[in-house]
Amino acid sequence: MKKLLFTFTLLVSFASFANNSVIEINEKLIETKINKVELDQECYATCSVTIRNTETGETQTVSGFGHSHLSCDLAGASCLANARANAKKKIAELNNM
Amino acid sequence: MKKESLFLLLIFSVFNSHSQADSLNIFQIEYEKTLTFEDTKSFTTSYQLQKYIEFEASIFDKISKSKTPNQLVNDDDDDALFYYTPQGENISFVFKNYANSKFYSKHAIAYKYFIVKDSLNIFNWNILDKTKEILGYICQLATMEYRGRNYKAWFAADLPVGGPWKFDGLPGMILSINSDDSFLSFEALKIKSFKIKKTEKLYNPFEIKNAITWDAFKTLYKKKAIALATYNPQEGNSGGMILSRGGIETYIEDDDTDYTADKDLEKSKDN
Repeated sequence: MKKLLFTFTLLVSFASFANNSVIEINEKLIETKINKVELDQECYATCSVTIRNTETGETQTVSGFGHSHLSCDLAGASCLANARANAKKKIAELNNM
Repeated sequence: MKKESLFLLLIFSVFNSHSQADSLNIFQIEYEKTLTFEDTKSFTTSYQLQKYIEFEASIFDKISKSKTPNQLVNDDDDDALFYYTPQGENISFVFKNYANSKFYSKHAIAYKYFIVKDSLNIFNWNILDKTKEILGYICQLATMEYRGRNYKAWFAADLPVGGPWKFDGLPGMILSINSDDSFLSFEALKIKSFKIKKTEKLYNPFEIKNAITWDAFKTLYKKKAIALATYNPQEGNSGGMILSRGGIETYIEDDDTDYTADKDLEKSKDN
């Protein structure tokens, strides 16, 4: 019984640790932040993500581009995903410089 | 009997004077800082100020730790918005030395840290007649403009000179301070005073020989902001990184035309 309780506690701890340490990325699109242009059935999108420093109140904005020959929604989604990835890469690089 | 009483009095005064010389008077104040962004999303953090009367110095530091330090955390409602809470050695620390009217703090430019030294005489307060009570102390109202924002502060003249974070320069302790645009506020939650055994000296954790002035910091920030606007090491689906002109404090003046990337970005969003 004690073993079972210990295993259960361990599982709950791991689950809560995993939940806290992963940056959640919801793939919902924020239409207002994406500019899209349709050219010859290709759609190009530009967008940006904003990072707020909760200590100093400063903000940083990182842009992204995306394109799709299927739909402008896909171009927008790709743009936002690129911008998020770029923001993370840039911060990692600047931290290591 | 008379001799015994005199002897006891002598012993008591020796111990009393010894304990006075060997102890330090400390005022400890806990503050709650609230940072509210333009979309009304706000962040609250707890800080502590310790004023060492005999050392003519104070230290101010964060007491609540972030659950997600140095990580990008996505906003619950907006996929394009992230939060970042820096955490590391003395990041939120402010050391004030009243003996030489200087204070020291740590500032980052693109994740590189600098120690900035400032004068305690930079605050241009206008003291008004209005009073109110905070935590049992009668406080007086004062206003000022500081590095891009207008502030209202309430200070207690019955407490030693000081204030939360960098704020200072009033004839008493600042127990409440708010920017007029509601971006920043500090509110005192608890005040206590106590004595501790005197140590040799109060330790300033900053390497002050490498400290730069506020003007030098602003110049470096602008230079980096201009460089980062076109910083793009991985070619392809990315632009540069656009820094804001400041946060709580303004680093690049609004009418400064050397740096235009932030305004260009806003224009491109409008088109």
